[in-house]
Amino acid sequence: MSAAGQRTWRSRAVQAVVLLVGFALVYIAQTSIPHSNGMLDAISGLGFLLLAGTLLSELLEVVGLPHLSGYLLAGILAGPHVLGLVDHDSVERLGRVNALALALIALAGGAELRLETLRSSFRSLAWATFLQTTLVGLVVGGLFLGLSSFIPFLAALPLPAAMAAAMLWAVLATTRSPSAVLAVTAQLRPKGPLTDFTIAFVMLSDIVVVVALSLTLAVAKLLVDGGSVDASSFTTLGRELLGSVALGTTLGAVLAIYLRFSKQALLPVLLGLGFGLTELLKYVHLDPLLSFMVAGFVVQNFSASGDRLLDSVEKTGAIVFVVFFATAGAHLDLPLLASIWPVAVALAGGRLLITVATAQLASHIVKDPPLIRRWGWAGLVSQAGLALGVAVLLTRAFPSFGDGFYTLAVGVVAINEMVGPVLFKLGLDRAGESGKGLVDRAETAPVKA
Amino acid sequence: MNAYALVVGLLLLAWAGDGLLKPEGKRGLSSGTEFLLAGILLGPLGLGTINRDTLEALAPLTVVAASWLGLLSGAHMGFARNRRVPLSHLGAGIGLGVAVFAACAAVGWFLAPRLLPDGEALRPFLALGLGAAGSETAHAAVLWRADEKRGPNPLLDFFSDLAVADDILPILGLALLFALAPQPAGTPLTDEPWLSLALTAGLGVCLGAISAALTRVESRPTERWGILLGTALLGVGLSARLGLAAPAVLFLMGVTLNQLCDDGPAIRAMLERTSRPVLLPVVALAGASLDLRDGRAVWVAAALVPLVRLAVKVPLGAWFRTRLGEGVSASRWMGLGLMSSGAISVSVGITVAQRFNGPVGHLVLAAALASVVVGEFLGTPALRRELKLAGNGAPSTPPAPQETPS
Repeated sequence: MSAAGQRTWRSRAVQAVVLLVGFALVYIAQTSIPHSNGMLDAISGLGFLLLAGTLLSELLEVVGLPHLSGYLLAGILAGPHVLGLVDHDSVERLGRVNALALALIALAGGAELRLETLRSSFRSLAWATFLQTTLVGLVVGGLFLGLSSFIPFLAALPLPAAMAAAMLWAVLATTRSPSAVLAVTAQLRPKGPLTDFTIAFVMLSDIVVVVALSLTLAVAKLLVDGGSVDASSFTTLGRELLGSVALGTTLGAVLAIYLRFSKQALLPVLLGLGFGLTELLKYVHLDPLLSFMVAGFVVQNFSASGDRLLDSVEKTGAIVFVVFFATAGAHLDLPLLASIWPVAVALAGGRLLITVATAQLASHIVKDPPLIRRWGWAGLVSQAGLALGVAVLLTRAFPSFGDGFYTLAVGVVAINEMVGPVLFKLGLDRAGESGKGLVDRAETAPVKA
Repeated sequence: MNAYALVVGLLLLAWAGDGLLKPEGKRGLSSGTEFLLAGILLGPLGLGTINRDTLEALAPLTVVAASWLGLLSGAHMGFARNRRVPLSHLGAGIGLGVAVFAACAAVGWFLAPRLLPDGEALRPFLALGLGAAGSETAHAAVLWRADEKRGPNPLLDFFSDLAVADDILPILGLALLFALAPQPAGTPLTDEPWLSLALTAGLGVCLGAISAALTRVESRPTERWGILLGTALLGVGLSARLGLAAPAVLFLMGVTLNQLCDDGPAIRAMLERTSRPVLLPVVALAGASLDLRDGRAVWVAAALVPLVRLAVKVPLGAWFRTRLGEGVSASRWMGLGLMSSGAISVSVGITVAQRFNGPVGHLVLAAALASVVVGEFLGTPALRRELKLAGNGAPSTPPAPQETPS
């Protein structure tokens, strides 16, 4: 039983009262002095989201929801579209903190990938990745095209452009959320084949999405604008992938050496890397997520310091995940979702169904253990920052339908962001892999998938 | 310098701050004076690597860090070396603080009309600012030496107690200064200093009560960090919105937290670990923010405040010596050992410099930094000498934490 699980009703009451006091305090300050204070407002918003997210996650635990749902709900309630306690400008400013959070999440994700697990479940991962990319892409892309009469921007497009949009939507559907998966695992500390499989799958899917996106972009450009395929985009993709992996490897080696020889606190180093390197990597057009993931992977698998790195990153987890998802919640545009919900629900529902079916097909082919066969899909539903990042990219690349595309993407991602973590927690609970919050990592032998 | 690069540099300093606190002995100067000088060297007055635009971009971070130092100080209020400060020592420390505050404030009151254009109007602000910047005795400096003298040492305890107790003066001065200052347009607190002071106290106590209630029901360290960090950031943001002194609000939050939580030693230990990693970047930023554009006035304030501190502390120290109990030996110059100035002075200096972007801010920051430097080179060696003379602090086993149950 987790420490949080031992809470009494008195503790919950204290948390609920404090949460209400916090909301009241900020509400009074906001309404009595409406003038904006720039960055300090963002700092106040950050503090409030951190506090409210932590408390709401504890309170929602009573009804079995993952902490992540509490973080999101805190952000939604405090955000500009509901109570307006954190304004739009502050939410935008907190994007920089999110970049740092994402770097730490990627580092932890890479460090969770163990060569031993990858080797033992290589066949399972390969089939799942192949089928989840192709089948989910095809079916969701087809569904998108099939619903064109209900999607105003799509109905107005000529067939080639509509097909291009459907292909891009298909890529969007194949993105997963490593951050959501890691947030749930950070809370529950699950152990077992389902956990190992899910983490490995979602981390690897990031690379698959980068490749698929570049290929699809090239073809979609051809369909929308005509002309020929621009080979330089493949060169750029190769450079980006290789560069990110090379830099991540170097970073991992440096971190491993540092961890080997220094006993000092790792947190300032991680924060410095998160802030500094993310900006540097963006400047040289490399993928920070991939680089940090590779760095974590290198430390975990090619040094003896993997667990120390993981432990240091996980210690920040309760703060990093709250900030990341509460800000994501504040970003959710509820009025927009309300205006497009029927199509968004249809697309999200279709994606969910085909994800479940494909997971079972892949498991059947490779004869996965029953646990993965039954629940292997549960962690693949969540979508968050990566999907939105892809949507922004597509919006810029295709101005003719980009805005409508982005609006719909935000709506669908919002649904998956809220539903996905709940399903993953349900899967872990049913698979019997959760509820080991107090078990020390070292006490649990690695489980092969 | 790019703001991101500076943030990374500051994190490097935080890392260095953590590294300098080794179990086998502390390295560097207790006040971080070397980082202050580095800040001046890299700032607009020196090489210009850190320019004023970058400092302005980082101003919110600086406010957060300075306020965090206020929180640390508040959480330790009334506790020194893991024990409660006796009431008599608390009174002596506050008395010392009042005397130094009054003397430094008098300097400001006297200087303003003579050195500053529109000095009459600035008089109360400069007086309060210099009083707040000059009235701290840094307990970090005392604790820095404490580890060298681990045995029972009444003189060291006395120094620690005074240093902890007098922190309240600069914080009160800062709160009053912000209350008297013209409020930014749009705030309903204009011309209502009492309301501003009441809000400072109310907000600090409310945030302290919130964090105490939550840490009572939450024992997991990471979650506790989330609570403390969230509450503190919220406090800083709300203070800025209400035009209050954020370090004062967080100081009161720390006091309330320490009084109401049921795990004081653990919370104080948690917070204490952040002391050097936060102090060093703030000290470096304060050094870089030093502004000499007000010419002679800055130099005069920077020279007079440490002098006045010396003039008040030496005789008061000699008087304290006569009140020390049997068997506690100290020289008549023991007041020199109280000259150290550090986290609170820097916090006050940088906060005032950001709120009063003009001569008052420049003079207060310069006086605060001068007190830190003079305190380091005069106070710390004197403190060491006094402890050596006391002779009853031979290294032995560390004292077990013995806190009076609250």
